[in-house]
Amino acid sequence: MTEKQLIQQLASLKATVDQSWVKKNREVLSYQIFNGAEYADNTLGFFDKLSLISKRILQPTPIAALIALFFVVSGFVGVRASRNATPGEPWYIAKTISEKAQLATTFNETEKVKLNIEFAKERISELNKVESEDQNVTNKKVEEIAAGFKHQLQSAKDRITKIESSKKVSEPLVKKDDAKEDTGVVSAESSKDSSGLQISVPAQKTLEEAEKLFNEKNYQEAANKLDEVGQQLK
Amino acid sequence: MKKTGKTSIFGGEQVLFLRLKKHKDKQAFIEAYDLYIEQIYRFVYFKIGSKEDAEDITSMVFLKCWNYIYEGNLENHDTLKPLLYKIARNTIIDHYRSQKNKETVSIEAITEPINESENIHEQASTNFDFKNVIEQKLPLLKEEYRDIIILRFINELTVSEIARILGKTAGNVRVLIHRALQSLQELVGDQDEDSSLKNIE
Repeated sequence: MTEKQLIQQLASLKATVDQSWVKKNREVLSYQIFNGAEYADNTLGFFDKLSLISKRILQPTPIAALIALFFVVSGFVGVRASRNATPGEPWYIAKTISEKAQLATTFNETEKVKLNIEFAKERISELNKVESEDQNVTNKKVEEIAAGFKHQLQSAKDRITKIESSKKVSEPLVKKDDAKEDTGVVSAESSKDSSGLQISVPAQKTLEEAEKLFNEKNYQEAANKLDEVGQQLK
Repeated sequence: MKKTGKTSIFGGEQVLFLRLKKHKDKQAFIEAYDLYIEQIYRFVYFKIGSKEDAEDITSMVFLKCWNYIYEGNLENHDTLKPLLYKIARNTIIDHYRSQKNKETVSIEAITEPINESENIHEQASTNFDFKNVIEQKLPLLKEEYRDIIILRFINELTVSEIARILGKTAGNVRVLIHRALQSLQELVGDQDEDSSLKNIE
């Protein structure tokens, strides 16, 4: 007989309990323990229940799960709450950190330019929001947002210049390797930022126009110009 | 179907135990009786081998347990099941002692450790009237192995529960489970060989 068969047979050994004896013995036991004794309060107090709950909850696995849940929920809530935050609000710092994290985790320069454009547009929305909510908005707040806008625009311009310069470096290599293919296709190096080839001067110019419109407080037009740059990048 | 005692946060073993510990709640003890009677009876029955004796001893186990609780001795315990099994084991030992010595022996000390040196299983084996081969071989097992087999494979207790009942570590219990199974397997194997030899003759 194998061990498995033995275990199966052992599990099947069920000594059937005589239910009439169980019932009768229950009555005898009840009589014995209740006879002449006072009634005991059988309800559990608040602290008893609390102790039971804490005993169940304070296990390693539920604690780890709760911690993980806390981080996921707080992260989710934080991102949601920071989306419409403006300078001076508690969640604004989360918003800036989130933007920096997005830029840090993006490795394609063209994608980074797109992010800069997106964040610059976000600054315009923030400016519109603070001005519509409070007519006497402080200069400090406006200046902070304007500085953020210009910073994003400058970063976008720098990146476009970088893409242009890498394109120029890679072009001679292409011509030497494959003289027949004189249009469109460039080296592997530049293919990483292939869309960058379409940016060049028009994009730089549009960005400068957007900055000019922003300085003139024509925010809507500035946003439209940024959209144009976005289209050029696509 | 066996009662496992697993229930919701405000029901079952832990709540019953707390009611007993805090309030010596009689109704809670009756509920505990309903919860554990079958498994305690089964444990006693496979140790004793006689229905009548198993019923008497099981009744005694619950009454002794209630007296133990009533005297306020639950402070050092955190569950009821291991306590019931410990009382059952000691009551069985007392039962064998009383049969052996033909005199009444006090069964007061329920926490008294079991003296494994007492070879009571030989005496136990004479009482059995089991029909099944495994049931016939169970009494021939070493006392400790028999406990392990009943607790683990018949009453389906967890290793940690068995460790609490026997006062051993979980690692020790796992080793014992393995050895007990091996030992029983050998006994059953011998029986099979004997039967086949008889058939040939």
